[in-house]
Amino acid sequence: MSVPGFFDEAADSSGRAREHYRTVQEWFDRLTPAQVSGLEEQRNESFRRQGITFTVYGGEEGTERTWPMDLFPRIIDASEWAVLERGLTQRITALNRFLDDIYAGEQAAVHEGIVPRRLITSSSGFEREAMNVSVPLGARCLVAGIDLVRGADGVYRVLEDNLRNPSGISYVIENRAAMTKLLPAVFSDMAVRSVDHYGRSLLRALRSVAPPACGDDPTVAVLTPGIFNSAYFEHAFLARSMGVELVEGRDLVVDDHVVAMRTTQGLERVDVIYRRIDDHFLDPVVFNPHSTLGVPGLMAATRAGTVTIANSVGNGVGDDKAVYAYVPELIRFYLGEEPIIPNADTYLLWEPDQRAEVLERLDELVVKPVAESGGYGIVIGPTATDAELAEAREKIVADPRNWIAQEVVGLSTLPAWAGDHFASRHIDLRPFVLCGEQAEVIPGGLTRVALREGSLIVNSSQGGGSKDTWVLGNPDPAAAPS
Amino acid sequence: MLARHAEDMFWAGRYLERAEDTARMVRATLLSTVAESPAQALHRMHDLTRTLRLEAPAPAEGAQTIAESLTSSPPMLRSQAGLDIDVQAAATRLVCSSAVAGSVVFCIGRARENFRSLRDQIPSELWEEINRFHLQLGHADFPGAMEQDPFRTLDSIRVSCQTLNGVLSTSMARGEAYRFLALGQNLERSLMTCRLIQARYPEMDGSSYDEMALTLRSVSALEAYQRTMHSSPLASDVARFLLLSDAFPRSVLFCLRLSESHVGSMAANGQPPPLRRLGQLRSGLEFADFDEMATDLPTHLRALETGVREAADLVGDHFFRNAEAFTLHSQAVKPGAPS
Repeated sequence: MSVPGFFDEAADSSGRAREHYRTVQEWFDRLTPAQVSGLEEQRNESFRRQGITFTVYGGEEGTERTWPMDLFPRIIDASEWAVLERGLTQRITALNRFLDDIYAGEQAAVHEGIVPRRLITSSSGFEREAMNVSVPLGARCLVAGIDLVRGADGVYRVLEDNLRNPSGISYVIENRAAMTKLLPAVFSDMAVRSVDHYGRSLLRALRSVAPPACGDDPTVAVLTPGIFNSAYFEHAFLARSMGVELVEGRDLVVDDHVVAMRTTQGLERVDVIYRRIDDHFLDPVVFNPHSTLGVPGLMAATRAGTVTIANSVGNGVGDDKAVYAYVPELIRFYLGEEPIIPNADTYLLWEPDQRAEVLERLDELVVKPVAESGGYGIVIGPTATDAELAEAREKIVADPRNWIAQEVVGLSTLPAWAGDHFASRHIDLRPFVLCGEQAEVIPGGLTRVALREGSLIVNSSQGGGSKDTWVLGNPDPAAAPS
Repeated sequence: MLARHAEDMFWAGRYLERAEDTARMVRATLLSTVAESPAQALHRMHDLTRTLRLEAPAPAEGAQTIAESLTSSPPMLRSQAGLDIDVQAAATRLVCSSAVAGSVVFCIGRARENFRSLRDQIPSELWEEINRFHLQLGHADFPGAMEQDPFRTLDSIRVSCQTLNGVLSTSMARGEAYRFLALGQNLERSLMTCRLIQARYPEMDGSSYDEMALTLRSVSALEAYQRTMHSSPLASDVARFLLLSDAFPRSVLFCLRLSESHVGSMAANGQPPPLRRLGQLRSGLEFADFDEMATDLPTHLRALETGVREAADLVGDHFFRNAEAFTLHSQAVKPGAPS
């Protein structure tokens, strides 16, 4: 069932189920296709009833689809997870140090020549408005989603960092809730680590970055663009699981550098805003003046230190895909450690030598715009048409700073239901890391799967689905990661 | 609680109540038309449309006006369910047409939209139930079911509404969110009962059981009325019961008492305008001399309806728009102000 040339997560080279997949594989082997279809129907019905949907832009405008979750789970054993957990914590710690160094520190990474200055200043994610705005604990990236892939060699690599508004955590939790109901018998045989506590952990992290002056009971709110945003479901989910208000820009006012929300009892002060609005829409006074989603005066209040915005403004410089290439160096520079999880091999197209090589091998590489997320704008050389390659070449030559190229990483595979049988499909993994007083990695994360045969694109906006991700508890408590 | 959320809650409550009441009234009216001539039946549907404060539905292509049908007495055209075809069409419109503001489908759609923006405020069970209900109403077969078996369809709507109310009352904390929802429901309910009395009072002449039964069935009050008022067919007794009953949850007085207590529990201090207005309305009914009221009931009912609508507006001014004045001020904050 494996696809030659790719790492099969569930089976070894001889085709036998790997140790940690054995129980699940046997369980699915016993099901008839009709039984699997029955479970799928049950799942769709449950998602539809709960309104667990996402919006796809383009095509038929704003189509709402139910969330596509494949039944075959992804499983990560305890020792493998312990390594990932340390690697993710290391990476996000270094990135937070870097962001704080750039915006509120001495820019040591630039002065020491680790990162070229022009790379920072030319990044579309770099915000001058955030200069010298300090953030409690230096936790500029409070919630990170780091995309990992596993190549043919079985090594996990970081494909990209999402330090702005990573989404998907609500689906992690809803996937688990659905799976527990659909396959209760499987869970009882395995020690799967819980993900349910995310809301509590997020609230603790958000409260830990409240302005010191606001006392020991800070008020937290989630700021959403509103009901028409594709991730509205998640925004509401997070507010509900934290038990805080879900506000829109029009619910907030800034008066004398203090942010308050309009309540039935008048104005109530807000201390920490978990915003799910992009930087440029946050405050029409300093950013896009036409934005009606934001709050006039919000940046001034942030600068005055009366409110903390999480994630901080300007984090885009940290997940710029050209800066990504320097992250291993940044880890060595700030932490004095070797990176635990390596990068995918990356070419910077503004370097003439690298560009020349890439343009020659364009049909073998993946080309990505540096500031996009969600899989938009990616060109995959081996599967692209000649016209697409020619267009990519033109764009790269016109604006090399805006592009990077990477070797094609063979995404590992797992069985996924293909209508009447299970077939190998490519997957990636987005773990979520919270960085308040200390970093916390939520066990597992969002496994995305390319449901089309042979496809390497896992984004839900582009025909991808998801899988529940199980991290197994360590059977030996003495060896459990601390 | 956020003022915007409170307002959405309040309106969700009004829409839910409106949908349930409309379904009940349509059902009672259809039931009363079964044995009537097409002209009488159509006349009843028009009365109902007026009670619901909706425009009279445009007559179907080629249909006769009421006056024409009264004189020509044509053979009755029957729908699948055996009802007069125009009556059936009007009922289907009041229930199924998303173009009629106030139809059941319209109201449930709006209530769901409101709840959708309140996902963080309401129990998941409530969201799932309204979502299920909405999907049921939006199903392509639904208007067909209404044509084929209107009574069963209307009963299923009532049961869905009652399920929602059950979920509400058993799973929602009695915080502000719940209170605004319940306030919206009770104000809407008092308005609907008030309008029903206005429309039905002149039709009840004291001799017809059917007229009395239609009025009471429209708010599911027939059984309660029979037990407490021993089936008196007098219009004034029916009106007295629907206005002033202490025990019946759809009487105007009962709804106003609940509304007042919800507003009272949310008013931080003193007597804000909506509380005063509701208190005046409630005490006006509580201490009313009904026999004196009965001498000019239409005027009293009109004043009462206006009063309740004013109270609803005052709720909006006091709770939902109390911080509006800050908008202009906040925009004066300049960028880069000193820290």
